[in-house]
Amino acid sequence: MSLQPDEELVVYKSSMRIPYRWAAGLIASKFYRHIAQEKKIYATRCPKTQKVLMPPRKSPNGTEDWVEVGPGGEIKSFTVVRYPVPSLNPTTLPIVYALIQLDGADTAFVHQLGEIETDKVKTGMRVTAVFAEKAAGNILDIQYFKPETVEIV
Amino acid sequence: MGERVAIIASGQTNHCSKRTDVNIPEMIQEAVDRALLQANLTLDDIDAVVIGNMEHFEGINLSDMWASEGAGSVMKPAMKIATGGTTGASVAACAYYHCASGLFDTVLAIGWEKLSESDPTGGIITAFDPIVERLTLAGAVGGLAIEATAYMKTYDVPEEVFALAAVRSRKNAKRNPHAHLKLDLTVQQVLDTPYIAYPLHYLDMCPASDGACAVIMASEKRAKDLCPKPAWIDAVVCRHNHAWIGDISFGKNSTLESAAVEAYKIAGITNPLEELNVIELYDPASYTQVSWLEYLHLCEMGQGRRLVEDGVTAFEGKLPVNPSGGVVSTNPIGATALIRVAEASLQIQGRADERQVDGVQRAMATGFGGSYWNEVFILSA
Repeated sequence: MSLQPDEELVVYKSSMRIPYRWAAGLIASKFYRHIAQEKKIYATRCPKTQKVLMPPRKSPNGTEDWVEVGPGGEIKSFTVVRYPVPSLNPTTLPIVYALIQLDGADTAFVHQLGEIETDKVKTGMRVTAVFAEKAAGNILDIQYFKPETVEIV
Repeated sequence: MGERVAIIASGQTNHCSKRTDVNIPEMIQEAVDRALLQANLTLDDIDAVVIGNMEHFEGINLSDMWASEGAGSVMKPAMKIATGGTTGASVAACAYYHCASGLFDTVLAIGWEKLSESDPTGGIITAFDPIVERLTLAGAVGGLAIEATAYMKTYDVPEEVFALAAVRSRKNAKRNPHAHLKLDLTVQQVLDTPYIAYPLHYLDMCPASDGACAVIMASEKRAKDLCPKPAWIDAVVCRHNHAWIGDISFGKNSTLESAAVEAYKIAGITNPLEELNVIELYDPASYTQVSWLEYLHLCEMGQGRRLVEDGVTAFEGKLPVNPSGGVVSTNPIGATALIRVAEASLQIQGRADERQVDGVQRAMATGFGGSYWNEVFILSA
C-alpha cells in the first residue's frame, strides 16, 4: 500500500521518566564524607597490586587501606568540549574535561577544569581541587580543578 | 549436541529488599567471590564471563562494562544477556553454549538486580510496544493476573489454592539463608492482603529484591578435575513467544510445555513425576505454582491443585517444588532464573544444607519472562 496525498504517517512522541536512587555503598559513602566534612580526598590501596586507586574500591576481604591523595595533581590528557548537548550536559560551553592523576594516586580520573582559559590548558599541567560549598554526595562535590598557584619568590 | 557440561559451583548474596551498603559491582562481587570460594578457584581460572540484568531497571544498561570489576571480566571475553525475566536462565544457557561448543573450559555466569534502585514496573513497561500495549497493559502484574483469572474460570480453582502455594514457598524459604521473605503465614493471611490486580493479592506476588547469583560451569574434563560431584547439564531448552499478549492463548503456558517436552526428550525422561526429584520453578505469582505444574506434564490439566493440596510439591513430598522458597520469596529479577539453576545444582551436589532434599539424582530448573517465554534446564548427578 502507499500513502495517499491527504494521509499522514503516525510518529508518536513520548519520553521516559523513570526515577532512580543509586546506593553508593560503604566505600564511596566514606569517600564523599571525607570530602564533605574535611575537604580531603581519600583513595584505597589495592592489596594485590599495591596501587592506589582513585576513586576508591572495596577490598575483597573488607579491610580497605585508605590513603589521602591530592588535592593537587597532574593533567594526563584533556579535551575542550565546544558542541552543546543541552539535554545531557547543561553546563555553559566551552568546558574542559581532563584526566587528572592526584598526588599519591596511581590511577587518573576524569573531572572538569575551571578558572582557566581553554587555550592555556596543557598536558602535564599542575591543578588542584576546588570543593563545592554544599556537598551533594556525588563527584561534583569536587566542583572542578583549577591551575595550581605558583608562588614567585 | 555439543560437549558435556557441568555446574561445578555457585554463589549468592543474601537477598533482601535494600542493599545500600554496596554499590552494584560490589554486590555482584559478593556472589562471584562465593562461587569462586566454593569452587576453590580464582578469577585466573575463569575463561569467559556472561552477565545479565534487566534493561532500564537501574538506569545502567551496559552492565558488562559498568560492573566489570565486580564481575571479574576485566581482560576476559565477556558478554551481556538481557531477555527480561528469563535473563538469568538465558545467562546460564549462554554459559552452557560457551562450554558445550568446546571453545571454553570454565565460564562464569552472573545474574544480578537491585530492584531498590528504581521502579521495576517503570522498567518493565519499556519492554512493551510503545504505542500499543505500553499505554494499556504494560507491567509485571497485569499479564499474570489476566492469566490467573482465565485459569480460575477454566478449571474452577479458588484463590485459596494459590495462597497455599505461596504459604508453603515462604515457609521453605526459612531453610534458605539467601532467601528474602522467610515467613510463617496462613492461607487466610495471604487472602487478607489487598488485591494488587484481581485475583492476585499482595502476598500472592513475588517481592522486589536486591541480589546477585554466580554459577561456574565447566567442560566435562575440567569439571571432573575440579569438582568431586559436578551437577551435569542434561538439557537446556528455550522457547520465546509472540510480542502481544492477545496473540498468546490465555491459561495455556505453551512455551513452558514445549520446552519441557523437548527437555524430557533430550534427557530421556518419560515420566517426570517419577523421574524428577526436585523442581526449582520460576513462579512469579502463587497461582503459577499451581497452573504451570500442569504444563510440565506432572498431572492432567486442571489437576495442579491436587499436587499442591495433597502435599506432593511440599518439602517432604514426592516431588518438592522450590525448597529454596522460589520466586515468591526472592526476586532480584536478573538473578532470579539463574538462582533456580544454581539451587537445582546445589540439590544435585548435596550442597543445599537445610533445604537439601534427600537423594536428588535429577533436578529441573525453569526461567520465565517476557511475553510468556520459558527456559527449562534438567540437571543430573
